[in-house]
Amino acid sequence: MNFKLNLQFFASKKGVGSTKNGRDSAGRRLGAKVADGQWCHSGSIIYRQRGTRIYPGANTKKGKDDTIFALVSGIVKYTREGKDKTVVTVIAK
Amino acid sequence: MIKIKICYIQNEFKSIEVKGHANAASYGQDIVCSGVSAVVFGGLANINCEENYSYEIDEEKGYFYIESKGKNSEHDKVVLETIITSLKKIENEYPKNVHIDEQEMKGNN
Repeated sequence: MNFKLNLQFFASKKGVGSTKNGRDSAGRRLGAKVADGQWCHSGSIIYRQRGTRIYPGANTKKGKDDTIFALVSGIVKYTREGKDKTVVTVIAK
Repeated sequence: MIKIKICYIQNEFKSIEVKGHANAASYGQDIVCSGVSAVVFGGLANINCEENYSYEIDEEKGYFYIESKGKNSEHDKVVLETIITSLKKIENEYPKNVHIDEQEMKGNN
């Protein structure tokens, strides 16, 4: 009898491929560090963000990495301005 | 896992069915599969088809079946025994990838 010898005749086609994915960076722990109505020191960070999700208002300032921090000690207030803009202010105490 | 079923009638070879995948490695590197393929196809290539010993064969990807349609010639008995012994050796070495099941069937050859 004449058989074609295929040495992988009983091998399964589904090879175990490799993936070029599987890497990820660590979380940056962004977001609010002081909540609405909480008291904060001057100079303390209120909100960590990328870009301006939250805009700086009175007694606050935006750092070069868009972090918002307090200029005076007081109570933190998040308010809505316009259709979709959120502003954070510190009411000095 | 490659499942091999060998049937005998009155201790004489009747059929052998080989199916499944060895899954020992990915395609192209599966040594268990190549061992079984070499033994089965290499051995059965030596089966005597002339004279009046005929065989029924069914072959698809990952499935092979051969059945003897009459008395086996002495030559073929030796060839088939060699194939079965080799497959058993492979099963011993790779029990997770090859399983042999031998059955005695009723009836006459």
